[in-house]
Amino acid sequence: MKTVKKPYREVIIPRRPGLIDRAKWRRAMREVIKQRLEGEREQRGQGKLAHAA
Amino acid sequence: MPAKYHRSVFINAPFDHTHWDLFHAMVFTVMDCGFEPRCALESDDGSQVRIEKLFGIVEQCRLGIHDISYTALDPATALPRFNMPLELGIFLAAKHYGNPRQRLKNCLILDSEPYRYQKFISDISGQDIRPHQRQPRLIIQLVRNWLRSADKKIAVPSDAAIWLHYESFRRDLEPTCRRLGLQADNLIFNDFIFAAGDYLRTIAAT
Repeated sequence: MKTVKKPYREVIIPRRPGLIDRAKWRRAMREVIKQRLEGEREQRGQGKLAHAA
Repeated sequence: MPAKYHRSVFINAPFDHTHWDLFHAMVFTVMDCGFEPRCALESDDGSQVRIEKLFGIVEQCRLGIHDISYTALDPATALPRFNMPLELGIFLAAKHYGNPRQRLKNCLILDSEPYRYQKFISDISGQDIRPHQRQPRLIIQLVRNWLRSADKKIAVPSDAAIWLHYESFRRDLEPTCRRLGLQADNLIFNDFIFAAGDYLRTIAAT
Protein backbone atom coordinates (compact mmCIF):
# COMPACT_ATOMS: atom_id res chain seq x y z
CA MET A 1 0.00 0.00 0.00
CA LYS A 2 1.25 3.46 -0.86
CA THR A 3 1.34 5.97 2.01
CA VAL A 4 1.08 9.66 1.23
CA LYS A 5 2.83 11.92 3.70
CA LYS A 6 0.87 15.07 4.45
CA PRO A 7 2.81 18.31 4.23
CA TYR A 8 3.73 19.55 7.69
CA ARG A 9 2.23 22.89 8.63
CA GLU A 10 4.05 26.12 7.89
CA VAL A 11 3.70 28.80 10.56
CA ILE A 12 2.07 31.94 9.17
CA ILE A 13 3.21 35.28 10.60
CA PRO A 14 0.72 37.94 9.45
CA ARG A 15 2.25 41.23 8.30
CA ARG A 16 0.33 43.60 10.54
CA PRO A 17 1.74 46.70 12.17
CA GLY A 18 2.76 46.33 15.80
CA LEU A 19 4.47 48.47 18.40
CA ILE A 20 7.68 46.53 19.04
CA ASP A 21 10.93 46.79 17.08
CA ARG A 22 10.85 43.39 15.40
CA ALA A 23 14.56 43.15 14.64
CA LYS A 24 15.40 43.89 18.29
CA TRP A 25 12.72 41.43 19.42
CA ARG A 26 14.17 38.66 17.21
CA ARG A 27 17.67 39.20 18.59
CA ALA A 28 16.47 39.29 22.22
CA MET A 29 14.31 36.20 21.91
CA ARG A 30 16.99 34.15 20.15
CA GLU A 31 19.43 35.11 22.90
CA VAL A 32 16.92 34.01 25.60
CA ILE A 33 16.24 30.69 23.83
CA LYS A 34 19.98 30.08 23.40
CA GLN A 35 20.66 30.72 27.09
CA ARG A 36 17.80 28.47 28.17
CA LEU A 37 18.93 25.61 25.91
CA GLU A 38 22.52 25.95 27.16
CA GLY A 39 21.26 25.87 30.76
CA GLU A 40 19.18 22.77 30.08
CA ARG A 41 22.14 21.05 28.38
CA GLU A 42 24.38 21.86 31.33
CA GLN A 43 21.81 20.49 33.79
CA ARG A 44 21.50 17.29 31.78
CA GLY A 45 25.30 16.94 31.76
CA GLN A 46 25.48 17.39 35.53
CA GLY A 47 22.67 14.87 35.98
CA LYS A 48 24.58 12.32 33.92
CA LEU A 49 27.77 12.93 35.92
CA ALA A 50 25.89 12.54 39.23
CA HIS A 51 24.30 9.35 37.95
CA ALA A 52 27.68 7.95 36.86
CA ALA A 53 29.26 8.79 40.23
CA MET B 1 -10.52 28.87 -3.27
CA PRO B 2 -7.92 31.29 -1.86
CA ALA B 3 -5.68 29.54 0.68
CA LYS B 4 -5.81 32.59 2.95
CA TYR B 5 -9.59 32.25 3.45
CA HIS B 6 -9.28 28.54 3.97
CA ARG B 7 -6.72 28.87 6.76
CA SER B 8 -7.95 32.04 8.49
CA VAL B 9 -9.49 31.61 11.94
CA PHE B 10 -11.74 34.28 13.42
CA ILE B 11 -11.20 34.35 17.19
CA ASN B 12 -14.21 35.55 19.14
CA ALA B 13 -13.15 35.47 22.77
CA PRO B 14 -13.10 37.78 25.79
CA PHE B 15 -10.36 40.41 25.67
CA ASP B 16 -10.50 40.75 29.42
CA HIS B 17 -7.27 40.46 31.45
CA THR B 18 -8.79 37.63 33.51
CA HIS B 19 -9.04 35.58 30.28
CA TRP B 20 -5.63 36.43 28.75
CA ASP B 21 -4.15 32.99 29.45
CA LEU B 22 -7.04 31.26 27.66
CA PHE B 23 -6.98 33.71 24.75
CA HIS B 24 -3.20 33.39 24.33
CA ALA B 25 -3.38 29.57 24.45
CA MET B 26 -6.04 29.67 21.72
CA VAL B 27 -4.08 32.05 19.46
CA PHE B 28 -0.83 30.12 19.96
CA THR B 29 -2.48 26.80 19.05
CA VAL B 30 -3.97 28.28 15.88
CA MET B 31 -0.49 29.46 14.86
CA ASP B 32 1.27 26.22 15.82
CA CYS B 33 -1.18 24.32 13.62
CA GLY B 34 -0.28 26.55 10.63
CA PHE B 35 -3.43 28.70 10.57
CA GLU B 36 -3.78 32.48 10.74
CA PRO B 37 -5.54 33.99 13.77
CA ARG B 38 -7.76 37.00 13.11
CA CYS B 39 -9.70 39.10 15.60
CA ALA B 40 -11.11 42.56 16.19
CA LEU B 41 -7.91 43.59 18.02
CA GLU B 42 -5.79 43.33 14.87
CA SER B 43 -6.54 46.87 13.68
CA ASP B 44 -6.89 49.97 15.77
CA ASP B 45 -8.56 52.38 13.40
CA GLY B 46 -10.80 54.82 15.23
CA SER B 47 -12.41 55.92 11.96
CA GLN B 48 -13.71 52.40 11.25
CA VAL B 49 -17.11 51.39 12.60
CA ARG B 50 -16.55 48.38 14.87
CA ILE B 51 -19.35 46.23 13.48
CA GLU B 52 -18.16 46.88 9.89
CA LYS B 53 -14.69 45.74 10.91
CA LEU B 54 -16.19 42.55 12.37
CA PHE B 55 -18.23 41.89 9.21
CA GLY B 56 -15.04 42.21 7.17
CA ILE B 57 -13.02 39.82 9.32
CA VAL B 58 -15.83 37.23 9.54
CA GLU B 59 -16.19 37.34 5.75
CA GLN B 60 -12.46 36.68 5.29
CA CYS B 61 -12.33 33.66 7.65
CA ARG B 62 -13.54 30.17 6.85
CA LEU B 63 -13.01 29.08 10.44
CA GLY B 64 -14.14 30.55 13.75
CA ILE B 65 -13.55 29.90 17.44
CA HIS B 66 -16.26 31.32 19.68
CA ASP B 67 -15.70 31.32 23.42
CA ILE B 68 -19.02 32.25 25.03
CA SER B 69 -17.85 31.62 28.59
CA TYR B 70 -17.61 35.30 29.55
CA THR B 71 -21.20 36.02 30.49
CA ALA B 72 -20.76 37.37 33.99
CA LEU B 73 -22.48 40.60 34.93
CA ASP B 74 -20.37 43.73 34.58
CA PRO B 75 -19.85 45.01 38.16
CA ALA B 76 -20.23 48.62 37.01
CA THR B 77 -23.52 48.21 35.14
CA ALA B 78 -24.91 44.90 36.50
CA LEU B 79 -25.55 43.89 32.88
CA PRO B 80 -24.05 40.94 30.96
CA ARG B 81 -21.61 41.37 28.06
CA PHE B 82 -23.21 40.21 24.80
CA ASN B 83 -20.45 40.82 22.26
CA MET B 84 -19.39 37.17 22.02
CA PRO B 85 -22.90 35.73 21.39
CA LEU B 86 -23.53 38.54 18.86
CA GLU B 87 -20.35 37.73 16.93
CA LEU B 88 -21.23 34.02 17.00
CA GLY B 89 -24.61 34.96 15.52
CA ILE B 90 -22.92 36.98 12.74
CA PHE B 91 -20.68 34.00 11.92
CA LEU B 92 -23.59 31.51 11.84
CA ALA B 93 -25.68 33.90 9.72
CA ALA B 94 -22.81 34.36 7.24
CA LYS B 95 -22.63 30.58 6.88
CA HIS B 96 -26.39 30.24 6.52
CA TYR B 97 -27.16 33.14 4.16
CA GLY B 98 -23.82 33.58 2.44
CA ASN B 99 -22.49 32.56 -0.97
CA PRO B 100 -21.03 29.05 -1.56
CA ARG B 101 -17.65 30.19 -0.20
CA GLN B 102 -19.27 31.43 3.03
CA ARG B 103 -21.19 28.17 3.39
CA LEU B 104 -17.86 26.37 3.85
CA LYS B 105 -17.53 28.02 7.25
CA ASN B 106 -16.81 25.77 10.22
CA CYS B 107 -16.71 26.79 13.86
CA LEU B 108 -15.78 25.62 17.32
CA ILE B 109 -17.99 26.88 20.15
CA LEU B 110 -16.52 26.83 23.64
CA ASP B 111 -18.01 27.43 27.05
CA SER B 112 -16.57 27.03 30.53
CA GLU B 113 -18.82 24.16 31.70
CA PRO B 114 -20.89 21.49 29.95
CA TYR B 115 -24.53 22.48 29.20
CA ARG B 116 -24.19 25.87 30.93
CA TYR B 117 -24.98 27.68 27.63
CA GLN B 118 -28.51 26.19 27.67
CA LYS B 119 -29.39 28.62 30.47
CA PHE B 120 -28.54 31.78 28.52
CA ILE B 121 -28.39 30.93 24.78
CA SER B 122 -30.64 27.91 24.34
CA ASP B 123 -31.16 28.57 20.58
CA ILE B 124 -27.77 26.97 19.90
CA SER B 125 -28.69 23.73 21.70
CA GLY B 126 -28.43 21.82 18.42
CA GLN B 127 -24.75 22.75 18.11
CA ASP B 128 -21.87 20.89 19.66
CA ILE B 129 -20.53 23.11 22.46
CA ARG B 130 -17.26 22.03 24.09
CA PRO B 131 -16.42 22.86 27.72
CA HIS B 132 -12.89 24.19 28.30
CA GLN B 133 -13.18 24.46 32.10
CA ARG B 134 -10.98 27.59 31.92
CA GLN B 135 -7.93 25.35 31.41
CA PRO B 136 -5.38 26.48 28.79
CA ARG B 137 -4.21 22.86 28.42
CA LEU B 138 -7.74 21.76 27.54
CA ILE B 139 -8.23 24.70 25.16
CA ILE B 140 -5.10 23.63 23.28
CA GLN B 141 -6.44 20.10 22.93
CA LEU B 142 -9.91 21.22 21.80
CA VAL B 143 -8.63 23.77 19.29
CA ARG B 144 -5.97 21.42 17.89
CA ASN B 145 -8.39 18.50 17.44
CA TRP B 146 -10.96 20.74 15.79
CA LEU B 147 -8.38 22.25 13.38
CA ARG B 148 -7.16 18.74 12.59
CA SER B 149 -10.63 17.78 11.40
CA ALA B 150 -11.36 21.17 9.79
CA ASP B 151 -8.46 20.81 7.34
CA LYS B 152 -7.34 17.27 6.68
CA LYS B 153 -4.75 18.33 4.09
CA ILE B 154 -2.08 19.46 6.52
CA ALA B 155 -0.44 17.61 9.39
CA VAL B 156 -0.58 19.43 12.71
CA PRO B 157 1.48 18.75 15.87
CA SER B 158 -0.04 16.71 18.70
CA ASP B 159 -1.70 18.62 21.54
CA ALA B 160 1.07 17.43 23.89
CA ALA B 161 3.70 18.94 21.54
CA ILE B 162 1.76 22.23 21.27
CA TRP B 163 1.50 22.39 25.07
CA LEU B 164 5.29 21.95 25.39
CA HIS B 165 5.86 24.69 22.77
CA TYR B 166 3.40 26.97 24.58
CA GLU B 167 4.98 26.40 27.99
CA SER B 168 8.47 27.11 26.69
CA PHE B 169 7.19 30.17 24.81
CA ARG B 170 5.58 31.55 28.00
CA ARG B 171 8.82 30.86 29.87
CA ASP B 172 10.96 32.70 27.29
CA LEU B 173 8.50 35.55 26.76
CA GLU B 174 9.06 37.11 30.19
CA PRO B 175 12.86 37.50 29.98
CA THR B 176 12.61 38.68 26.35
CA CYS B 177 10.15 41.38 27.35
CA ARG B 178 12.33 42.37 30.31
CA ARG B 179 15.35 42.85 28.03
CA LEU B 180 13.33 45.26 25.89
CA GLY B 181 11.61 47.06 28.77
CA LEU B 182 8.19 45.59 27.92
CA GLN B 183 5.56 43.78 29.98
CA ALA B 184 4.56 40.33 28.71
CA ASP B 185 0.92 40.78 29.72
CA ASN B 186 0.63 44.12 27.94
CA LEU B 187 1.70 43.06 24.45
CA ILE B 188 -0.87 44.08 21.86
CA PHE B 189 -2.44 41.37 19.70
CA ASN B 190 -0.28 42.05 16.62
CA ASP B 191 2.91 41.94 18.69
CA PHE B 192 1.82 38.75 20.44
CA ILE B 193 1.19 36.93 17.17
CA PHE B 194 4.48 38.17 15.74
CA ALA B 195 6.30 36.93 18.89
CA ALA B 196 4.52 33.55 18.83
CA GLY B 197 5.07 33.04 15.09
CA ASP B 198 8.73 34.03 15.25
CA TYR B 199 9.22 31.74 18.26
CA LEU B 200 7.64 28.76 16.50
CA ARG B 201 9.81 29.28 13.43
CA THR B 202 12.92 29.62 15.60
CA ILE B 203 12.34 26.44 17.61
CA ALA B 204 11.52 24.55 14.40
CA ALA B 205 14.95 25.57 13.07
CA THR B 206 16.92 24.65 16.23
